[in-house]
Amino acid sequence: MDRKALTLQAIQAASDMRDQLDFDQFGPVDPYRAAELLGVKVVFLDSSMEGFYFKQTPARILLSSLRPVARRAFTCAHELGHHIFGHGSTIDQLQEDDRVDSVKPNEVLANAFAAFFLMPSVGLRGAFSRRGWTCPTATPIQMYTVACQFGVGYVTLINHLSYTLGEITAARRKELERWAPQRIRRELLEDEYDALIIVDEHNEAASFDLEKEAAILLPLGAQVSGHALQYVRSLEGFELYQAIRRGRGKVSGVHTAFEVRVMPKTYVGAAANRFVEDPDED
Amino acid sequence: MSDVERRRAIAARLRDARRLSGFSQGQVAKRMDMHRPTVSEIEAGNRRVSADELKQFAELYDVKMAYLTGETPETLDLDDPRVQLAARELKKLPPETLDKLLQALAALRTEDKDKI
Repeated sequence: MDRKALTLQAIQAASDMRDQLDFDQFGPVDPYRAAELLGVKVVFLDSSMEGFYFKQTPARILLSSLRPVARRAFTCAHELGHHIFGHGSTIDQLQEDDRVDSVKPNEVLANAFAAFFLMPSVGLRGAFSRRGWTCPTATPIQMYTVACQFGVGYVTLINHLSYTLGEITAARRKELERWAPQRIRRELLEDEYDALIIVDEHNEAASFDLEKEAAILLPLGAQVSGHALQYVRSLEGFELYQAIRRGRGKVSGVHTAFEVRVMPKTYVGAAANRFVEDPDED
Repeated sequence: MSDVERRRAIAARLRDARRLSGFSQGQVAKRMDMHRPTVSEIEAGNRRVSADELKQFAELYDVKMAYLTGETPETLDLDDPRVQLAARELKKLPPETLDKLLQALAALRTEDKDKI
Protein backbone atom coordinates (compact mmCIF):
# COMPACT_ATOMS: atom_id res chain seq x y z
CA MET A 1 0.00 0.00 0.00
CA ASP A 2 1.38 3.39 -1.03
CA ARG A 3 0.30 5.65 1.84
CA LYS A 4 1.76 8.77 0.26
CA ALA A 5 -0.17 8.27 -2.97
CA LEU A 6 -3.39 7.65 -1.01
CA THR A 7 -2.81 10.79 1.06
CA LEU A 8 -2.23 12.88 -2.06
CA GLN A 9 -5.39 11.45 -3.59
CA ALA A 10 -7.31 12.36 -0.41
CA ILE A 11 -5.92 15.92 -0.35
CA GLN A 12 -7.05 16.43 -3.94
CA ALA A 13 -10.49 14.98 -3.20
CA ALA A 14 -10.88 17.21 -0.12
CA SER A 15 -10.03 20.28 -2.19
CA ASP A 16 -12.35 19.20 -5.04
CA MET A 17 -15.16 18.67 -2.55
CA ARG A 18 -14.73 22.20 -1.17
CA ASP A 19 -14.92 23.52 -4.73
CA GLN A 20 -17.93 21.41 -5.59
CA LEU A 21 -19.83 22.58 -2.51
CA ASP A 22 -18.79 26.20 -2.98
CA PHE A 23 -16.87 26.22 0.31
CA ASP A 24 -13.70 28.28 0.37
CA GLN A 25 -10.43 26.37 0.30
CA PHE A 26 -9.07 27.42 3.68
CA GLY A 27 -11.71 28.10 6.30
CA PRO A 28 -13.50 25.84 8.78
CA VAL A 29 -16.31 23.76 7.26
CA ASP A 30 -19.33 21.96 8.65
CA PRO A 31 -19.23 18.28 7.58
CA TYR A 32 -22.96 17.91 8.33
CA ARG A 33 -23.71 20.72 5.90
CA ALA A 34 -21.48 18.99 3.35
CA ALA A 35 -23.43 15.73 3.84
CA GLU A 36 -26.72 17.55 3.41
CA LEU A 37 -25.54 19.21 0.19
CA LEU A 38 -24.40 15.81 -1.13
CA GLY A 39 -27.79 14.25 -0.28
CA VAL A 40 -26.28 12.01 2.41
CA LYS A 41 -28.48 11.66 5.49
CA VAL A 42 -26.79 11.59 8.89
CA VAL A 43 -28.33 9.91 11.94
CA PHE A 44 -26.97 9.66 15.50
CA LEU A 45 -27.39 6.41 17.44
CA ASP A 46 -26.45 5.73 21.06
CA SER A 47 -24.26 2.78 20.25
CA SER A 48 -20.59 2.10 20.86
CA MET A 49 -18.92 2.51 17.48
CA GLU A 50 -17.44 5.43 15.58
CA GLY A 51 -19.63 5.39 12.51
CA PHE A 52 -21.25 3.44 9.73
CA TYR A 53 -21.49 4.31 6.06
CA PHE A 54 -24.54 2.72 4.45
CA LYS A 55 -24.37 2.67 0.69
CA GLN A 56 -27.88 2.93 -0.72
CA THR A 57 -30.20 5.66 -2.03
CA PRO A 58 -30.15 7.96 -0.17
CA ALA A 59 -26.75 7.14 1.35
CA ARG A 60 -26.72 7.21 5.14
CA ILE A 61 -24.10 7.95 7.75
CA LEU A 62 -24.75 6.63 11.24
CA LEU A 63 -22.66 8.17 14.03
CA SER A 64 -22.35 7.33 17.69
CA SER A 65 -23.93 9.94 19.95
CA LEU A 66 -21.74 8.60 22.77
CA ARG A 67 -18.55 10.07 21.26
CA PRO A 68 -17.38 13.67 21.87
CA VAL A 69 -19.00 16.24 19.56
CA ALA A 70 -15.76 17.03 17.72
CA ARG A 71 -15.03 13.32 17.24
CA ARG A 72 -18.46 12.84 15.67
CA ALA A 73 -17.76 15.64 13.19
CA PHE A 74 -14.47 14.01 12.22
CA THR A 75 -16.15 10.63 11.77
CA CYS A 76 -18.88 12.28 9.70
CA ALA A 77 -16.17 13.63 7.36
CA HIS A 78 -14.48 10.20 7.36
CA GLU A 79 -17.73 8.48 6.28
CA LEU A 80 -18.22 11.19 3.65
CA GLY A 81 -14.81 10.10 2.39
CA HIS A 82 -16.14 6.56 1.91
CA HIS A 83 -19.09 8.06 0.07
CA ILE A 84 -17.17 10.19 -2.41
CA PHE A 85 -14.60 7.46 -3.11
CA GLY A 86 -17.48 5.10 -3.95
CA HIS A 87 -16.64 2.62 -1.19
CA GLY A 88 -19.22 0.04 -0.07
CA SER A 89 -21.06 -0.01 3.26
CA THR A 90 -18.42 0.22 5.99
CA ILE A 91 -18.43 0.00 9.77
CA ASP A 92 -15.86 2.01 11.69
CA GLN A 93 -15.43 0.52 15.11
CA LEU A 94 -14.62 2.38 18.26
CA GLN A 95 -11.07 3.73 18.33
CA GLU A 96 -9.28 4.95 21.39
CA ASP A 97 -6.46 6.47 19.40
CA ASP A 98 -6.86 7.88 15.93
CA ARG A 99 -3.17 7.26 15.25
CA VAL A 100 -3.70 3.53 14.98
CA ASP A 101 -2.93 3.42 11.30
CA SER A 102 -5.26 1.28 9.33
CA VAL A 103 -3.82 -1.26 6.96
CA LYS A 104 -6.82 -0.93 4.68
CA PRO A 105 -6.35 1.48 1.79
CA ASN A 106 -10.02 2.58 1.96
CA GLU A 107 -9.58 3.54 5.62
CA VAL A 108 -6.34 5.43 4.96
CA LEU A 109 -8.09 7.34 2.17
CA ALA A 110 -11.19 8.17 4.23
CA ASN A 111 -9.09 9.27 7.21
CA ALA A 112 -6.80 11.49 5.19
CA PHE A 113 -9.81 12.91 3.39
CA ALA A 114 -11.48 13.81 6.71
CA ALA A 115 -8.28 15.38 8.07
CA PHE A 116 -7.61 17.56 5.03
CA PHE A 117 -11.26 18.42 4.41
CA LEU A 118 -11.63 19.71 7.99
CA MET A 119 -8.07 20.98 8.48
CA PRO A 120 -6.61 22.31 5.22
CA SER A 121 -2.90 23.09 5.68
CA VAL A 122 -3.05 26.68 4.46
CA GLY A 123 -6.12 27.37 6.58
CA LEU A 124 -4.42 26.04 9.70
CA ARG A 125 -1.28 28.08 9.14
CA GLY A 126 -3.45 31.17 8.57
CA ALA A 127 -5.36 30.53 11.79
CA PHE A 128 -2.12 30.55 13.81
CA SER A 129 -0.47 33.50 12.03
CA ARG A 130 -3.59 35.69 12.17
CA ARG A 131 -3.39 35.42 15.95
CA GLY A 132 0.34 36.09 16.07
CA TRP A 133 1.00 32.46 17.07
CA THR A 134 3.21 29.87 15.43
CA CYS A 135 2.52 26.18 15.16
CA PRO A 136 5.78 24.90 16.68
CA THR A 137 5.48 27.11 19.77
CA ALA A 138 1.70 27.30 20.27
CA THR A 139 0.56 26.67 23.86
CA PRO A 140 -2.04 24.03 24.70
CA ILE A 141 -4.74 26.70 25.04
CA GLN A 142 -3.78 28.20 21.68
CA MET A 143 -3.92 24.74 20.07
CA TYR A 144 -7.27 24.14 21.71
CA THR A 145 -8.62 27.45 20.35
CA VAL A 146 -7.59 26.54 16.79
CA ALA A 147 -9.04 23.02 17.19
CA CYS A 148 -12.36 24.54 18.29
CA GLN A 149 -12.39 26.85 15.29
CA PHE A 150 -11.98 23.94 12.89
CA GLY A 151 -14.50 21.81 14.80
CA VAL A 152 -12.02 19.03 15.56
CA GLY A 153 -10.66 17.57 18.79
CA TYR A 154 -7.48 18.88 20.43
CA VAL A 155 -5.61 15.59 19.98
CA THR A 156 -6.84 15.23 16.40
CA LEU A 157 -5.35 18.65 15.54
CA ILE A 158 -2.06 17.90 17.29
CA ASN A 159 -1.72 14.54 15.54
CA HIS A 160 -2.48 16.09 12.16
CA LEU A 161 0.08 18.88 12.73
CA SER A 162 2.68 16.40 13.92
CA TYR A 163 2.35 13.13 11.99
CA THR A 164 0.84 14.37 8.75
CA LEU A 165 2.01 17.95 8.27
CA GLY A 166 5.26 17.81 10.24
CA GLU A 167 4.60 21.29 11.67
CA ILE A 168 5.39 20.28 15.24
CA THR A 169 8.10 18.00 16.55
CA ALA A 170 7.48 14.67 18.27
CA ALA A 171 8.83 16.13 21.52
CA ARG A 172 6.45 19.08 21.34
CA ARG A 173 3.57 16.73 20.49
CA LYS A 174 4.27 14.72 23.62
CA GLU A 175 4.30 17.88 25.75
CA LEU A 176 1.00 19.02 24.27
CA GLU A 177 -0.54 15.59 24.78
CA ARG A 178 0.00 15.93 28.51
CA TRP A 179 -2.69 18.58 28.38
CA ALA A 180 -5.95 16.71 28.16
CA PRO A 181 -8.94 18.89 27.28
CA GLN A 182 -10.11 18.40 30.87
CA ARG A 183 -6.91 20.02 32.17
CA ILE A 184 -7.34 22.91 29.73
CA ARG A 185 -10.90 23.45 30.99
CA ARG A 186 -9.70 23.50 34.58
CA GLU A 187 -6.94 25.95 33.71
CA LEU A 188 -9.45 28.39 32.22
CA LEU A 189 -12.58 27.92 34.31
CA GLU A 190 -13.16 27.51 38.01
CA ASP A 191 -16.40 25.67 37.40
CA GLU A 192 -16.66 22.10 36.15
CA TYR A 193 -18.09 21.59 32.69
CA ASP A 194 -18.21 18.43 30.55
CA ALA A 195 -17.09 20.28 27.47
CA LEU A 196 -15.76 23.67 26.44
CA ILE A 197 -15.58 25.57 23.17
CA ILE A 198 -13.34 28.62 22.88
CA VAL A 199 -14.26 31.26 20.31
CA ASP A 200 -11.86 34.18 20.19
CA GLU A 201 -12.00 37.51 18.35
CA HIS A 202 -10.19 36.05 15.31
CA ASN A 203 -12.73 33.32 14.73
CA GLU A 204 -13.72 32.52 11.16
CA ALA A 205 -16.05 29.55 11.71
CA ALA A 206 -19.70 30.14 10.80
CA SER A 207 -21.09 27.73 13.40
CA PHE A 208 -20.28 25.85 16.59
CA ASP A 209 -22.05 22.73 17.83
CA LEU A 210 -22.52 22.09 21.53
CA GLU A 211 -24.31 19.61 23.71
CA LYS A 212 -26.54 20.92 26.46
CA GLU A 213 -24.61 21.87 29.62
CA ALA A 214 -21.39 22.53 27.70
CA ALA A 215 -19.56 25.82 28.25
CA ILE A 216 -18.55 28.26 25.55
CA LEU A 217 -16.21 31.23 25.81
CA LEU A 218 -17.19 34.10 23.52
CA PRO A 219 -15.20 37.24 22.77
CA LEU A 220 -15.96 40.28 24.95
CA GLY A 221 -18.84 42.31 23.56
CA ALA A 222 -20.53 39.32 21.91
CA GLN A 223 -24.32 39.65 21.66
CA VAL A 224 -26.24 36.38 21.77
CA SER A 225 -29.80 35.98 20.46
CA GLY A 226 -32.24 33.16 21.27
CA HIS A 227 -32.63 31.03 24.38
CA ALA A 228 -30.07 28.28 23.74
CA LEU A 229 -27.24 29.98 25.67
CA GLN A 230 -27.19 31.48 29.13
CA TYR A 231 -24.68 34.06 30.28
CA VAL A 232 -22.59 32.88 33.25
CA ARG A 233 -19.87 35.46 33.90
CA SER A 234 -16.96 37.41 32.43
CA LEU A 235 -13.40 36.29 32.61
CA GLU A 236 -10.24 37.73 31.17
CA GLY A 237 -10.97 38.64 27.56
CA PHE A 238 -14.03 36.40 27.33
CA GLU A 239 -17.66 36.03 28.30
CA LEU A 240 -18.56 32.59 29.61
CA TYR A 241 -21.89 31.15 28.46
CA GLN A 242 -23.49 27.77 29.02
CA ALA A 243 -25.66 25.79 26.61
CA ILE A 244 -28.97 25.36 28.42
CA ARG A 245 -31.60 24.63 25.75
CA ARG A 246 -31.83 22.83 22.45
CA GLY A 247 -31.87 25.42 19.68
CA ARG A 248 -29.79 28.00 17.88
CA GLY A 249 -28.31 31.30 18.93
CA LYS A 250 -26.86 33.97 16.68
CA VAL A 251 -23.76 35.69 17.96
CA SER A 252 -23.13 39.24 16.75
CA GLY A 253 -21.07 42.20 17.89
CA VAL A 254 -17.94 40.25 16.93
CA HIS A 255 -15.57 40.42 13.96
CA THR A 256 -17.48 37.72 12.05
CA ALA A 257 -21.02 36.84 13.16
CA PHE A 258 -21.61 33.14 13.74
CA GLU A 259 -24.15 30.69 15.05
CA VAL A 260 -24.06 28.48 18.14
CA ARG A 261 -26.20 25.34 17.89
CA VAL A 262 -27.20 23.35 20.94
CA MET A 263 -28.38 19.73 20.87
CA PRO A 264 -29.47 17.47 23.72
CA LYS A 265 -26.78 15.40 25.42
CA THR A 266 -26.08 12.10 23.62
CA TYR A 267 -28.74 13.07 21.09
CA VAL A 268 -30.29 10.23 19.12
CA GLY A 269 -31.96 11.15 15.85
CA ALA A 270 -31.48 12.79 12.49
CA ALA A 271 -28.66 15.31 12.35
CA ALA A 272 -31.03 17.67 10.58
CA ASN A 273 -33.33 17.78 13.64
CA ARG A 274 -30.79 18.07 16.42
CA PHE A 275 -31.06 21.83 16.98
CA VAL A 276 -34.84 22.12 16.58
CA GLU A 277 -36.31 23.89 19.62
CA ASP A 278 -38.28 21.54 21.81
CA PRO A 279 -41.52 22.70 23.48
CA ASP A 280 -41.23 19.67 25.80
CA GLU A 281 -38.22 21.33 27.48
CA ASP A 282 -40.50 24.01 29.00
CA MET B 1 -53.87 -10.20 14.00
CA SER B 2 -56.82 -8.42 15.61
CA ASP B 3 -57.46 -4.72 15.05
CA VAL B 4 -56.23 -3.91 18.54
CA GLU B 5 -53.03 -5.93 18.11
CA ARG B 6 -52.38 -4.28 14.77
CA ARG B 7 -52.93 -0.84 16.24
CA ARG B 8 -50.51 -1.60 19.07
CA ALA B 9 -47.89 -2.92 16.67
CA ILE B 10 -48.12 0.27 14.59
CA ALA B 11 -47.98 2.33 17.79
CA ALA B 12 -44.74 0.65 18.84
CA ARG B 13 -43.16 1.23 15.44
CA LEU B 14 -44.29 4.87 15.49
CA ARG B 15 -42.66 5.36 18.88
CA ASP B 16 -39.38 3.78 17.75
CA ALA B 17 -39.42 5.76 14.51
CA ARG B 18 -40.00 9.03 16.36
CA ARG B 19 -37.06 8.33 18.66
CA LEU B 20 -34.91 7.58 15.64
CA SER B 21 -35.89 10.94 14.14
CA GLY B 22 -34.81 12.82 17.27
CA PHE B 23 -38.17 14.55 17.74
CA SER B 24 -39.99 14.81 21.08
CA GLN B 25 -43.75 14.24 21.19
CA GLY B 26 -44.22 18.00 21.50
CA GLN B 27 -42.15 18.68 18.38
CA VAL B 28 -44.18 16.08 16.47
CA ALA B 29 -47.49 17.52 17.64
CA LYS B 30 -46.43 20.92 16.33
CA ARG B 31 -45.40 19.54 12.92
CA MET B 32 -48.40 17.26 12.51
CA ASP B 33 -50.77 20.00 13.71
CA MET B 34 -52.04 17.76 16.49
CA HIS B 35 -52.50 18.26 20.21
CA ARG B 36 -49.65 16.80 22.21
CA PRO B 37 -51.90 14.29 24.06
CA THR B 38 -53.03 12.99 20.65
CA VAL B 39 -49.45 11.98 19.84
CA SER B 40 -49.18 10.23 23.23
CA GLU B 41 -52.46 8.42 22.62
CA ILE B 42 -51.33 7.28 19.18
CA GLU B 43 -48.04 5.97 20.58
CA ALA B 44 -49.90 4.19 23.38
CA GLY B 45 -52.02 2.40 20.79
CA ASN B 46 -55.22 4.06 22.06
CA ARG B 47 -56.04 6.00 18.92
CA ARG B 48 -56.39 4.76 15.38
CA VAL B 49 -54.04 6.31 12.79
CA SER B 50 -55.38 7.00 9.29
CA ALA B 51 -53.42 5.97 6.20
CA ASP B 52 -52.86 9.63 5.44
CA GLU B 53 -51.44 10.27 8.90
CA LEU B 54 -49.18 7.23 8.62
CA LYS B 55 -47.79 8.62 5.38
CA GLN B 56 -47.12 11.96 7.07
CA PHE B 57 -45.44 10.23 10.02
CA ALA B 58 -43.24 8.23 7.64
CA GLU B 59 -42.13 11.42 5.88
CA LEU B 60 -41.54 13.33 9.11
CA TYR B 61 -39.51 10.48 10.63
CA ASP B 62 -37.76 9.63 7.33
CA VAL B 63 -38.68 5.96 7.65
CA LYS B 64 -40.35 3.46 5.31
CA MET B 65 -44.13 3.41 5.29
CA ALA B 66 -43.90 -0.40 5.16
CA TYR B 67 -41.83 -0.32 8.36
CA LEU B 68 -44.56 1.58 10.21
CA THR B 69 -47.30 -0.78 9.01
CA GLY B 70 -45.23 -3.80 10.02
CA GLU B 71 -44.88 -5.15 6.47
CA THR B 72 -41.09 -5.12 6.76
CA PRO B 73 -39.16 -6.68 9.64
CA GLU B 74 -38.09 -4.78 12.72
CA THR B 75 -34.45 -5.45 12.07
CA LEU B 76 -32.17 -5.97 9.10
CA ASP B 77 -30.66 -9.38 8.50
CA LEU B 78 -26.87 -9.66 8.32
CA ASP B 79 -27.42 -11.55 5.03
CA ASP B 80 -29.08 -8.50 3.52
CA PRO B 81 -27.18 -7.72 0.31
CA ARG B 82 -26.80 -4.07 1.36
CA VAL B 83 -24.68 -4.91 4.39
CA GLN B 84 -23.15 -8.14 3.15
CA LEU B 85 -19.80 -6.54 2.34
CA ALA B 86 -19.58 -5.12 5.85
CA ALA B 87 -21.08 -8.22 7.51
CA ARG B 88 -17.77 -9.72 8.62
CA GLU B 89 -16.79 -6.47 10.37
CA LEU B 90 -20.28 -5.96 11.74
CA LYS B 91 -20.12 -9.33 13.48
CA LYS B 92 -17.23 -7.99 15.58
CA LEU B 93 -19.45 -5.32 17.14
CA PRO B 94 -20.85 -5.79 20.63
CA PRO B 95 -24.29 -7.47 20.22
CA GLU B 96 -26.17 -4.47 21.62
CA THR B 97 -24.45 -2.11 19.19
CA LEU B 98 -25.13 -4.40 16.26
CA ASP B 99 -28.82 -4.70 17.22
CA LYS B 100 -29.27 -0.94 17.40
CA LEU B 101 -27.55 -0.47 14.07
CA LEU B 102 -29.56 -3.14 12.25
CA GLN B 103 -32.83 -1.91 13.74
CA ALA B 104 -32.12 1.63 12.57
CA LEU B 105 -31.19 0.43 9.09
CA ALA B 106 -34.42 -1.59 8.88
CA ALA B 107 -36.50 1.50 9.65
CA LEU B 108 -34.81 4.25 7.65
CA ARG B 109 -36.37 5.18 4.33
CA THR B 110 -34.77 3.95 1.13
CA GLU B 111 -35.46 4.74 -2.48
CA ASP B 112 -34.14 1.42 -3.74
CA LYS B 113 -37.42 0.16 -5.19
CA ASP B 114 -36.74 -3.57 -4.93
CA LYS B 115 -35.77 -3.29 -1.28
CA ILE B 116 -38.71 -1.46 0.22
